[in-house]
Amino acid sequence: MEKAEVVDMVECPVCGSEIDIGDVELHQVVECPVCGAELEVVSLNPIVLEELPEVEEDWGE
Amino acid sequence: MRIGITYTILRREELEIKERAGDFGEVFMLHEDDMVFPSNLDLDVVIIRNVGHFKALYLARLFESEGIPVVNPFTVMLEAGDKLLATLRLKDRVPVPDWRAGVSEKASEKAVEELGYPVVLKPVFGSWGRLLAKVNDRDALEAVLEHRKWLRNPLYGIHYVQKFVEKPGRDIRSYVIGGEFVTAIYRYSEHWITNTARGGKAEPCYDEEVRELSLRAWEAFGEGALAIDIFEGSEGLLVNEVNPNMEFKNAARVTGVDIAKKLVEYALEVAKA
Repeated sequence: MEKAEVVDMVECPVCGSEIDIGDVELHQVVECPVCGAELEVVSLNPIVLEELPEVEEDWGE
Repeated sequence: MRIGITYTILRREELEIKERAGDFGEVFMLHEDDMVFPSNLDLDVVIIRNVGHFKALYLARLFESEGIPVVNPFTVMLEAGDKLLATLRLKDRVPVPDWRAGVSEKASEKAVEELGYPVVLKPVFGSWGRLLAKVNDRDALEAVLEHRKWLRNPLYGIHYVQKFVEKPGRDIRSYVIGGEFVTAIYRYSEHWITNTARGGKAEPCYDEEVRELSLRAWEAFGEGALAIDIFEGSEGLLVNEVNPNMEFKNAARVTGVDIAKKLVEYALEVAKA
């Protein structure tokens, strides 16, 4: 049980906090509940988060 | 029904679309890293959700070339996704802010002289209010033109100038999908750029005139799913621009309208057409 909880926690690459992001999918955008940074799930096994890439010139609607 | 959804990142919008699409058929999530064309994909329709305009544009055409219908179609992406080309579509059907266009710096200066300050210099592509420049005088104009030159992107050499429209601290964003008016919101901001992606606040907008104007703007393109930006000018409503790759999480939240479902239902219609 303890192990599962540990596995669910992942480090925010921006503020370094250990955060619980729940069930996620690859490339999903999540928000760090501590610092508010927008993060992308770049790997699932293990879960790795990266800060969203810089906005590109033609991004948007 | 086999429904493809292309994407760059999974935002709330893409997750909602995926969930709604799952109610109608088999869903194939297509990340941009995993698609190579010609493809062997056997799909009835593809909903394009890549964040970058040019990626979305080319994916639309690539799928169409394989006989797979897309939302939005290439021609809608092309013309609605370019601020100047969209204006050329819109101008004979709906009121738009006074505008001029030219393809050189000198032409841009003349365009500004014709309109009179203040003006807004708009890149023909891009969104979220990026690189929009409100220009109040000649000095500012020269600075913006100089900066644009050094951006080294030929599209910044296409100069689209709008007369600045004084707004009542808000503008309107409406959604028309497949010729059906879906919903609209007011976007409030103290800044002259009111996009909610830049921190503007949203409220529902229930206005018959907005509904009617939005439908006329959509008819200028005649197909697809469009988000329409409307200004409340001193002499009435003006269609500022249209967006073919709509974001909608704020609008869905404040209006309670299931925009993702509307988009999926429209994609199913397109698949059957």
